[in-house]
Amino acid sequence: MAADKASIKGLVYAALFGALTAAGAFIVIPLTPVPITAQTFFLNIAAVLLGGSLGALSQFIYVMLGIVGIPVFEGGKAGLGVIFGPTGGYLLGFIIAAFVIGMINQMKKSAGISWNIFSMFIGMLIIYFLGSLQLSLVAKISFPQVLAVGVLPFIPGDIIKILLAAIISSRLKGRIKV
Amino acid sequence: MILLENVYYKYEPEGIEALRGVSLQIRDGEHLALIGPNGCGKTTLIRHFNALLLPTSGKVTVGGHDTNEPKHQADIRSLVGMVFQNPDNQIVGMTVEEDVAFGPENLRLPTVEIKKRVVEALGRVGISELVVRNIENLSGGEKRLVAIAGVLAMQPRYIALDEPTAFLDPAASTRVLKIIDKLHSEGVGIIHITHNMAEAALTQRIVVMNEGRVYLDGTPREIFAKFGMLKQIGMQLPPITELLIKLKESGLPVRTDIVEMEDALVQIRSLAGKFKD
Amino acid sequence: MYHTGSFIKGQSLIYNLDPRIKLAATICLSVFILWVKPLTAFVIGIALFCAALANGIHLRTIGQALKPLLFFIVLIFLAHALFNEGEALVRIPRLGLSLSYTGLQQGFFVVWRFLCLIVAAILLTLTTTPSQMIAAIKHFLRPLKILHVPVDDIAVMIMLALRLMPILFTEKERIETAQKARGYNLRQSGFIMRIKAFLSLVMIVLSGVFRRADELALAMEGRNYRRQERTSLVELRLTSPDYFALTFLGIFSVIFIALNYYFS
Repeated sequence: MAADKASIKGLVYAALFGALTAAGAFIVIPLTPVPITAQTFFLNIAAVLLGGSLGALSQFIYVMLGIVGIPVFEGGKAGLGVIFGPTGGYLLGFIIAAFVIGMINQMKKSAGISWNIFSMFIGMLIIYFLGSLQLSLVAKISFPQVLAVGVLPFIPGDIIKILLAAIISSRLKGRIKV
Repeated sequence: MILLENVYYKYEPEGIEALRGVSLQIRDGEHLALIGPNGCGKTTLIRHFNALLLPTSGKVTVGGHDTNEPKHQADIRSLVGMVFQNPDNQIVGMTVEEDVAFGPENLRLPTVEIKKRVVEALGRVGISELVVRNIENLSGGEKRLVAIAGVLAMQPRYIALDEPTAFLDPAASTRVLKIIDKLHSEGVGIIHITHNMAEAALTQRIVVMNEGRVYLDGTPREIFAKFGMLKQIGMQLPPITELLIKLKESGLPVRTDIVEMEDALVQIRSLAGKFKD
Repeated sequence: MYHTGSFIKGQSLIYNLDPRIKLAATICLSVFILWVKPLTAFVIGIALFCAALANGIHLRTIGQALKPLLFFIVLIFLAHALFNEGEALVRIPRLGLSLSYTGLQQGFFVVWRFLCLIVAAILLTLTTTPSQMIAAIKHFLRPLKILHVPVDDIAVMIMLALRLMPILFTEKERIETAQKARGYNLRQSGFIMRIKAFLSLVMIVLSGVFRRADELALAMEGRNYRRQERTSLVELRLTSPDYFALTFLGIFSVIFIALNYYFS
């Protein structure tokens, strides 16, 4: 469903997932020795449950919350600074990834857990790609360095989040009618 | 006037029939309490008053307009304000003034008019001092009043309230009830869902719902006089009425169609008088 | 841990400026910071820190903002300092690394620019209320209406999301307490137990907030919300301090651009 034709309910759900993603900055998934925050976890659920347009809208709202001054990015209250800074590409990646995950997911009529995982995995690659791009441009570091700083440390946590999000989304699918 | 003619409503896809032929007429400026056991269709009913739900069959007209006609729905929603049970599910603004402004903004009023409406609505519910406060720092009772003010800012002719005193402590309940009373005296029609019989007793008219139908309809005195019928559907009486009924059952000559403390005192004093003789 | 917005009430020129000016200025400044020569960025940074201190923003606030990024900043700095082709000051033979002067310099300037971005953004959020920010964002998104971007709705959604965040935390805490009472605990017990506890926590929280969202959508409809253009309580109007600020910013931009050429 395109965002300009979405129902009021759809908009409320997108706002809710924007808030959830933001709140995810404060929610730690206590499964690994290194605590991981729940942001991309909610991103993945939003994209699958709301679809491409509303999923992307929810992540756009999340980024706006950061600009408004809610300490929801790494970097607290400096929302706009983070967007222009080395890690800003990940945030742009959130919006585009949500759109793509939603689109891929909607291609299958009844997407199961494995299809969820597949679409979320593609989304993760998009986030890594855009994140690394800005990281290397702004921090002026080379590609292998970007991998070491901005990709590799996050892979284990992201995979766990994808698995959990895929389970949750398939359980909740059909619960929301937007 | 709000007019319901043989209204049926079925929730889809669950297929639950929540209303089964309700006919009701609510006049301008009336203060009406809607009571009945849980799941009897009270909330479903009041959501028909401002076109949030449309009847599966039957007809609802508000101020002469059929709620089924899309072009009238905006007017109807301004005419009948809806106050939900949980103010946290109704308040959309971060601050009090932002939330109260939400309705007027939707009506596309100019900024000057919106500001005027906010000041006026907050004044009417007596919380002018809260205007710039954050919603999350308010008490339950204050949030309830903000929700009412948000509806008042659209200058409705009726307000439908879904259990306005639920989860409030006695002081906050009294405060909210006083405001409701004041709005009624200003000419606003009040439709008020409640589980508190003493609260219902203070209105002009009680409609008792049961299993999606109007079970009883009359003044508080008329309704509580039919205490047998109320007991049948598991409803309780106001404590005062209950007491008088107990006295009568034990053979004392008292009236039982009484809902207010003052009237009850008169009855009991007259009893005392008789025993002195 | 969490507060709605970062706004601290204060009295100074910046507090009273139109939020559109502040937002636009911060964006321009950020682009500027990334684009100019290192030494110009250095001067801009000094000016920014002075502006921040003059507006009553504590170093501690800036420190707090930097703390979660520290890991990143240090890594980026080291990446420059240790992997540079320049003449080595110190060699770490076994790892094949060398610390060079040019590397240190590069690292410093990259981190410095980042610091400037952070300070500029903090200056913005600490002097602007969330509602003012929303109004400014709405204003700048307006041209996107041509592309059918629902700008009026987006402004409402940001407000709604801000409203929902504290509710989410309350809900989460309430359910966590209930789970603990039933013997679930996220921190102890085995891996499978923890996954189960986490999944059930998320399921309960989401089902609860979904029900809320359904009610909220209905309540908004009842308050005559429709997908259309809306008017607003917040009215943005440029006043004389705003024009003064614009002039001031213009002069500074010229100075910085001149400086930038001078440093080359």
